[in-house]
Amino acid sequence: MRYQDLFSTAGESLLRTKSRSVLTILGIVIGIAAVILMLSIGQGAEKYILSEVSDLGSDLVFVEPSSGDHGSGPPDPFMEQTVDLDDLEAMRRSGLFSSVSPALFTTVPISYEEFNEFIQVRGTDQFYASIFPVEMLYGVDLEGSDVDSYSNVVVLGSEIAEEFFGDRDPVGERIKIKSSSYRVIGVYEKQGSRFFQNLDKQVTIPVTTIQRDVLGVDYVNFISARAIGDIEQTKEELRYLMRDTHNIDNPNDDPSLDNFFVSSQEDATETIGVIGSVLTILLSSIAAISLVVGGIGIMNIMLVSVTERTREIGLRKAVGATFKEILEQFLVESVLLTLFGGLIGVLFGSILSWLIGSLLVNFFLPSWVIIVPLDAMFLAAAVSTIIGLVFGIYPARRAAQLSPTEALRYD
Amino acid sequence: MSTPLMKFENITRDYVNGDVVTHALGGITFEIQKGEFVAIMGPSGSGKSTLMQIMGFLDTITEGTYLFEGKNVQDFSQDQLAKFRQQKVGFIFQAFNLLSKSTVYQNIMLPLVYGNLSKTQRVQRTSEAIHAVSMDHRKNHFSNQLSGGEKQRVAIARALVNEPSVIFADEPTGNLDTKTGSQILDLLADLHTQGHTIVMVTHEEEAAQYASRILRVRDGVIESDQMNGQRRRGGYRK
Repeated sequence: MRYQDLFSTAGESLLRTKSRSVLTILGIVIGIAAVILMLSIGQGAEKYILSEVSDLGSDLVFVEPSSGDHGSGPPDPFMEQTVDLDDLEAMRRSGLFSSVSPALFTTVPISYEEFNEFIQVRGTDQFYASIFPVEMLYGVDLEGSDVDSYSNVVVLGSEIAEEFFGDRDPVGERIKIKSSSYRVIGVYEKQGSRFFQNLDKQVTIPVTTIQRDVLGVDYVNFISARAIGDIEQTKEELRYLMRDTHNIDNPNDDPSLDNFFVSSQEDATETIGVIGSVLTILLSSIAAISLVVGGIGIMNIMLVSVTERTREIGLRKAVGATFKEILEQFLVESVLLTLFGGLIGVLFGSILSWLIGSLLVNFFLPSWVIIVPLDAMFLAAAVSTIIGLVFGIYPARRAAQLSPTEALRYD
Repeated sequence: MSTPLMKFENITRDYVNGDVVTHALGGITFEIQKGEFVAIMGPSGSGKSTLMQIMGFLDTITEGTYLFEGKNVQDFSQDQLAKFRQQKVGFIFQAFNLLSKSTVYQNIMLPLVYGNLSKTQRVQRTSEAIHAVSMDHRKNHFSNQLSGGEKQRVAIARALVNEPSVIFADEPTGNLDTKTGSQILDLLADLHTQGHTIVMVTHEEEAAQYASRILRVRDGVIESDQMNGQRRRGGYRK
């Protein structure tokens, strides 16, 4: 049997039962579309976060509290807060950094006239802008005197300013944070998002004010700094400095004894890479399960098809089809089904990836990168072909093994 | 005397189902020469269909010798038997066995798909076979749009298309009315006149009278083997 005949015979058989063929491949279509979508979102997220992180610059160092038993990761709300302004001072005095700035966050009700909503407040100091450069739309940024004197002054994110005051310059206006009145001294230019936080929906007040008046605490969430020299060496020296400040005896450099954690932008990049890979594996595994389920569906339908077409198989054998020719016909049918399903899945997955990517770019994360993974498309086509072969072989063998006399007698 | 087309020596066929052994054929010996029109007659369960399936390489024998064109069929593998079916025999079934959602043309071409003719040869052979059964006007119709008689004509064309050494017809009039059955039997008789070898299994005496030789089978053995000098043409009745 020629390959042309093989494919046209298989194709004709599938077309004879169009609606069944379409329903059969639905599992594969959904599975492959899911794989493409997952890979697109996974790779897009990784690229997005990496670009956000690398935008920060490779000389950036963070110090955050740590219970010692883990490295970096999401902050633990119950962890003992061990980083404070004394650490900040020690870092400034060390001469290792060009600038150092603290950060302490909370979300509290903020009101102005009829507006009243929960908004994130960032407590920091005058050096914040030298670490994360930001332009002023109106007025001025925090100054050293504001921090030193626990001033009730606030710099607004551009979206908050627009919401409360429209297009006008709000400098000099007063807003309420919790129940205290704060004077607006400036508005930042639009900054977009960083680490999934919308910076334009934050307000910024002196770190001393947020510690004493808003939260009543003496710690900070983390300290950011720009290193002057070699980043690895700076981190090393910073760890010694912190141990000194915290009175930790740790001659063997054992991170589990520290109550703080020093990290750099590069560490974050590495961690994100690992998280990205794990996420991709996890999501792909789920999608792979759906593909296996789809494959079992194909096998099931092919078995039904073999039973239904027993007489046809008997006839084909009677007119000269060999074991191999029947086997090939049914295998090609199942591979055509899965391959076709795979291609439709790739198409759907790509369209969905593009749609969701566009949605993210237009409404949530303007710097999101839309990725329609080309390698995943080839992988999907290959995987669906393999599914067709693997799940098609059993029904095809059943068909090929039928005895022609029994098959012709079958009702 | 030339080599017979088919030669059977003491062939038996047993079917084993668990502990039960059924003797379908119990030692049959006969020959069929090229150009004969043989009717194999017998009641239900006599073994006539089994005999035809063995003759057409669809089934195998338990004991004995079956020589086709002088070659011992037992020496062939399953794949070789399949190729033999493709090249040497054509089948006509009681239930027609057409692919219902394929056209007349596609149905008739089916045996050639498993051969190795060029596309031009296939088209030519198929057209000739369609013409031989006068179905040219219906060649693009689907087989489920045809009447019973037309279906059997298509089946006959399909049996002819590979230019076989022998055509096997298993109760070819079984699903047809008297008039249509008569036309089909006339067609088979015409093919015989043109030189084709035909083996027809039937339980109808009237149908058997179209053949040049009648072999009567009962309980798996040949009861009689007679030449039929008074061959019937037309006037078949059920």
